[in-house]
Amino acid sequence: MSGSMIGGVDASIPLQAGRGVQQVNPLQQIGQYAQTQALINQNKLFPGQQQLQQQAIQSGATNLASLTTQKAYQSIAQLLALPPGQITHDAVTTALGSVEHNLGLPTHGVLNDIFATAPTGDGPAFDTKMRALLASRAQISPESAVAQVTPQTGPPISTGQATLPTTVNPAGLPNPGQINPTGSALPIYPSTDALMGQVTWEDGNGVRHYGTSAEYAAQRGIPGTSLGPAVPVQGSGGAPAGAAPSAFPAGYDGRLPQAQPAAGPTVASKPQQYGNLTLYGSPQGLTDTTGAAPGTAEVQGQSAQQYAADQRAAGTFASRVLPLRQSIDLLSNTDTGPGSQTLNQFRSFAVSMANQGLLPKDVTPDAIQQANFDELRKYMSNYITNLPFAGGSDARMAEAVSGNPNINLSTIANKDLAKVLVGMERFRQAQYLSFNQQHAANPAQAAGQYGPAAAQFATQYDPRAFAYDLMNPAERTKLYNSLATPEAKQRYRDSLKLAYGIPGLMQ
Amino acid sequence: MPVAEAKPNPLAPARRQAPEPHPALRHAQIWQAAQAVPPDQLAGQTERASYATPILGALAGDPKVTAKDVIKAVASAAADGKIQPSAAVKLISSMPTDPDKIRPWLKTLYEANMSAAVHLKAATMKAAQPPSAPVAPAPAAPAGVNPLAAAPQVAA
Repeated sequence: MSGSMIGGVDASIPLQAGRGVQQVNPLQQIGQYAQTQALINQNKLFPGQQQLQQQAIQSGATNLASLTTQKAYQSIAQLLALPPGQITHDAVTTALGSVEHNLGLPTHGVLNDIFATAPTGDGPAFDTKMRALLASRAQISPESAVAQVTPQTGPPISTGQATLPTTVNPAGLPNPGQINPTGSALPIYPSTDALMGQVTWEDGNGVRHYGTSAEYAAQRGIPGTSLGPAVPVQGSGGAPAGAAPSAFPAGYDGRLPQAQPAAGPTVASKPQQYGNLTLYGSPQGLTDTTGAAPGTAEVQGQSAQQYAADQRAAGTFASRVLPLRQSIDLLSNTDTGPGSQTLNQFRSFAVSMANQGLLPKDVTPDAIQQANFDELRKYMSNYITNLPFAGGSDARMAEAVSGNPNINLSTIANKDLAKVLVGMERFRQAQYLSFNQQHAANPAQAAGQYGPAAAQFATQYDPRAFAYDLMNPAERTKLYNSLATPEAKQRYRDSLKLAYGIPGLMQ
Repeated sequence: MPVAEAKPNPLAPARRQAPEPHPALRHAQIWQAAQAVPPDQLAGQTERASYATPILGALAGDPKVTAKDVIKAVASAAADGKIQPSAAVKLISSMPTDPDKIRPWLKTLYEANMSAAVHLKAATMKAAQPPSAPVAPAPAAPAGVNPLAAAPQVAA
C-alpha cells in the first residue's frame, strides 16, 4: 500500500483514475509491521516513556475539556445582553440546550460550575452569579477573566468645580456599563487666566474691592482695558506686548502678588503696594499654588461656616444666658409642670377679681406666685426666641420648645435643663473665645481651621465644669466623685480653670 | 473470667457508603434518560423540569429550609397542576427525615433537574427538527472501476 493513507482512504486514488487496482508490495507490509512492533517494544522497555505519553494524553484531554467548556460559555455569552435580573434558570437551560443540540458541545462543564456554588432561585443572586461566570469563563486569559468581574476605570465626570473619578461595571457585574463615582473628588482649580481676572484692590480711600479685571478697569475709569490678558504669568518679567500699562499704577511691574511659602493649608496673601494702589492675590489662587490636598477646601469651607455660626451666637450670648439664669432663680419658688398654666390662669383671674374688690383678699391666691409664673414663662419664651433657628417653621419651633425649658416640664426637670443649657452656652462661648485668642492676629483669616480646633476643644474640656456655679456643694461633690479616671478629673479641673479664666463668663 | 463486652473501636473507619457517581457520569445518565423520553412527552417533562429548577434552587439555597417548606412548595406545585398529586406524594415520601439532610437532598434534586432541563431542551430541539429526506443509494460501481474516477472525456 502506498504511504498516502489518510483515515483508511487512499488519497491518491483520484490521481490514479483509470489505472486499475495496483498490487500491494508484501515486503512493505512486513516493514510496517516491524516498525509497529519496535515501537511497542520500546514502550515496554522504557516505561517512563509510556508514562510521559499518558501524561501528554491526559493533559491534552484536560485542555480539550477546558476548551470545550470555554466554547460553551462563549456560545451562551449573549445572555449577558439581557437586562439586569433577567438571567433565569429557564434562559440558561434553554441556551445550554441549544449549545448541546446545535453545536454538539457538552455542557456539563458549565453546569458543574453553576453547581459549584450555593444554589439559588431565580432572582438577582442567580443573575449576578451567572453574569460573573459567563463573562469570566468565556475569556482566554486569566487576567481578562478577572477584568470581567472587577470594576474598570471609567471616564472622569466633571461637575464644573471638581472632577469625579469613576469606575464602569464590566459585563460580569450586575448593571454592566453603569458608571459609579468613586474616591474623593479632585477639585478643578481656576486657570491662571481665570485667576488673573479676579483681583482685589484698595482704592485711595482705603476701601477694599473685589471683582474682575474689567470691573477694576471700569472703576479706575480705564475703558477698554482688561487686567486679565495684560498681566503676565508670575515670574515672567514685565508686561508683555499688547498689555495695557495704563491699567496699572506707576511702579507696578506686571507681577501678581507672590504666594508665600507654605505655612499651613491656606496661605494668606500679603497685600502689595504699588504706588497708591494695594493689590491682593485671589485666595483661591493662593491655595492652588500651595498644592493643598483634595478636599481641603471643602473642610475649610465647613470650618468657616461653623466659625461664622459661633461668631453670631457669641454676639447674643448674654441675651440667651440671661433668661436662663433668671429662670433658674425663679424656679426655686415657682411650680411648673402639666396643668400649671391652667392653675396660674385661674390664680391670675382670682387676683384680678380681688384687686377689683370682687373677692375677699384673704381667700385670693398669692399674687407674687402668679407674677413669678408669668415672669418665668416670659424668660423661657425669650430664650427660645433667641435661639439661632427661632425663625424656622412652626414644627421646628415646637420641637425646640419641647427640648428646652418650658412650663410643661416639671420644676426639677426645668431647673436641671436650664443649668445644663447655661453650661453648654458657656462652653460654646469659651470655645469661640479660645480660638480667637489662639489666632489673635486675625481670627477670621484662620476660620478654615476652626472645625478641627473646635473638635479638639470638645475633647480637651468638660462642659459640666461650665455650670459649676449653678450647682450646690452636694451636686459638685457628686459630680467630681463620678469622674472615673484621673484624666477625667484633670480635664474637669482644667475646664474650671479655663471657665474662671475668661472674664465675665461665669457670672 | 467473664468476657468483656466488645466496644466499638472509635478509630475504626466509618461504615463505607456507596460513593457518589462522578459528575460526568451523572450527566451522561441524565442525558441518556432524556434521550429515552418519547417525543410526545418531551414538552411536558421539559416544562416540569424548568418549573421545578428555580423552586428547588431557592429551597436548597435557604439555610433554614424545613420539611414544611418543601411540603408547601410541592403542594403548591400540585395545586397549580405542574406535577401529578401521585408524583407529589412520591417526592415528599422520598424526603429525608433528618432535617440536616434536607438541604443536600434538595441540592441533588436541583442539580439533577437543571441538567435534565438542559438535556430535555436539547432533545426537544432535536425532535422539532424536520426529518431530512432519505438519500438514494448510489448505483454500485462495476468491479475494478474507481467510483471517484472522473468520467471519461468524450471527444468532440
